[in-house]
Amino acid sequence: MSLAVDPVLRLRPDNARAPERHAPEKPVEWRRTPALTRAVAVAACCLIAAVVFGRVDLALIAAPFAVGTALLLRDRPHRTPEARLDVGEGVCAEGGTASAVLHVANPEPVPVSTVVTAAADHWIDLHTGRGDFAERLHPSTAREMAVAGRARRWGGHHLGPVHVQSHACGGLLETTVQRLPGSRVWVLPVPHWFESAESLPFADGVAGVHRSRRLGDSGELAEVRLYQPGDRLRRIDWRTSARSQELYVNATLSERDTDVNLILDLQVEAGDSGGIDGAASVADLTVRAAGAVAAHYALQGDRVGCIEFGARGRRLRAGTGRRHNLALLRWLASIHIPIDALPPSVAMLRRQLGNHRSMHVLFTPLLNERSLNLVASLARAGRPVLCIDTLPDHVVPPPRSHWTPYAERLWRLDRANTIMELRDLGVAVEPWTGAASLDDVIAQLVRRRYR
Amino acid sequence: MSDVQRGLFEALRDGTRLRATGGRRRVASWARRLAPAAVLLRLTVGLSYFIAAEIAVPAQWGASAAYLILAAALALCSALAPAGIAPLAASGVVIASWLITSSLYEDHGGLWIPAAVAVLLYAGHSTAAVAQRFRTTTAVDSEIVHTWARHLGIVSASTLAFAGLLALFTAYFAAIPPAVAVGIGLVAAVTVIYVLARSLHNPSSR
Repeated sequence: MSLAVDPVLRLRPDNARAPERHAPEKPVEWRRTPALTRAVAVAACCLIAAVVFGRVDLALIAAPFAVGTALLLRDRPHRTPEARLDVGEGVCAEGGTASAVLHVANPEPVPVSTVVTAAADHWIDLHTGRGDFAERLHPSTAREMAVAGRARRWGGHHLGPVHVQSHACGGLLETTVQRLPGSRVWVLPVPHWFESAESLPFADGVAGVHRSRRLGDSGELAEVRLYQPGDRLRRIDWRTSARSQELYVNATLSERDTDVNLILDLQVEAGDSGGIDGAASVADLTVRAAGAVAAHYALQGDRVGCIEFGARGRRLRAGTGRRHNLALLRWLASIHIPIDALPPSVAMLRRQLGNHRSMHVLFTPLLNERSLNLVASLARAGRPVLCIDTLPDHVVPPPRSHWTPYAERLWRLDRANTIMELRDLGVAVEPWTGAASLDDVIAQLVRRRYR
Repeated sequence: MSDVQRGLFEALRDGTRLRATGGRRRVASWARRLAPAAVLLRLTVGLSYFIAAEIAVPAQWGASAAYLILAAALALCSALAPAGIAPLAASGVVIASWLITSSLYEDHGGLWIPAAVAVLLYAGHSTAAVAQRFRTTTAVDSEIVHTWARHLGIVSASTLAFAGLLALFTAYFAAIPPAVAVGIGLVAAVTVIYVLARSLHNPSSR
């Protein structure tokens, strides 16, 4: 039995509202406009009055309406223009142009004007003349028109629907409105610039840029030891050998890559986002900071993975390189913080963290107990944790009473105490300030690791 | 549950302030997106109907407050809603005014005033036809405006030529017997009305 005829699926839903039935969309067709009716009415009334009252001047008033209408309606279109919307890849960068191409073909040997009215999410500012415009289509031609706007914030935004209506014969005939459904455009976040010259701890991959604890070929000197069979001749330290009359070689530490796990605390959103030109909310700061850190390490050759600590609990497997960085930006763009979502589980997230020796970078505004528990549990488990504070400075609670400023001050003191406690626990907590802002805390982590 | 403690007056004040802020933002956005061609077309609609209404009546009528207000209101409505009933109402008022005043005042007649009224009425009508689906923010292709202006020029010229023709042969028309004139006029009027009425059908239904 197919699913369509399954009686269980055909039961009436337990909902008082009748299921919404979409009426089939009517085909696009030509119709007369009020202007044509007006022209005919004025001409006819004037001519009748001219005959009834014997007034030639009324025939003169009717003349332009009759002549103009006859001239305009000499060539009438029968087939309607065909329109379709092409969004293309549907990906652009924050602050860039989200665009779609509207193809309109006029099959008739009559010139036609097309009025295009597009709609978009409020994070896409449609360009002047690119969201609401009228274009002329020559006889039997097709035209491509751009519907474009500036994407002001990362995320999945809807571009469309686009309403297309054509006119012919000087506005005396028009088509019914054709509604072209839009499509989702993914606006990738533009990460802050981030650069770090510090090596990461637990470098145990195959090849990379971080100093590991194992010996191998690199420039990082580990020790000077006695020559053993198998050592390369170019590693002999001739100065030490000449001084001691025995052959000594320079042993170096190998340079390897490491795993970087980005954990994004997406439980609560705070602050109003102003897009790329305005103030940043918690989600904005989290996404842009995570994008910056991920881009730095992924392009450097480290394996970067992402985990959401939020209602959806998504995970992006670790990877490296430019292609993975793009996939990561796309993953970050689809972040969504639902209101009143189920709280995430710390234990569940810890089970998702596979490698015990990877570097954990946690982006959190430290606004609730669950986030603190997560940071503390990771630190107690001996995992290297770097906690980036993503609470923007401008975010303040809304004024509710005259106690609000005092309550806020107390809360900030309490938060500062909590951060100090986390630092005592060995967690490096640092507010996100962009390039090279994490060098000090990473250096501390490395020192702690090699102590 | 919010712990906000507000009185009715404060709530009303906050609501008014929010609405005013939203309104200001909307007006600023609209002003930024305003398209000159669409606005000029609407301006042409309003001006054409207003000037036609002023020309169609003698100066003392045209200067009276009641007529001025009526003409301005109709012109404004036509400019604001060119797809509505206002352009038809404005045309009807202008033609009725012309009929009444030319009957009442002997010196307010001739062929050139109705010719000017006809050209202005048609200018308002054709501009309203072009602009009826444009919003004030619609960026209009210049070719659409050129086509409209060319068509208006041709029709205006033909109307003026028709007026000149009528002026030249006024004496000849006066010599035609009334019954014959009525018969010829009736046939011509019915023919024109039939031809125009045929154009009202839906072209896609062929």
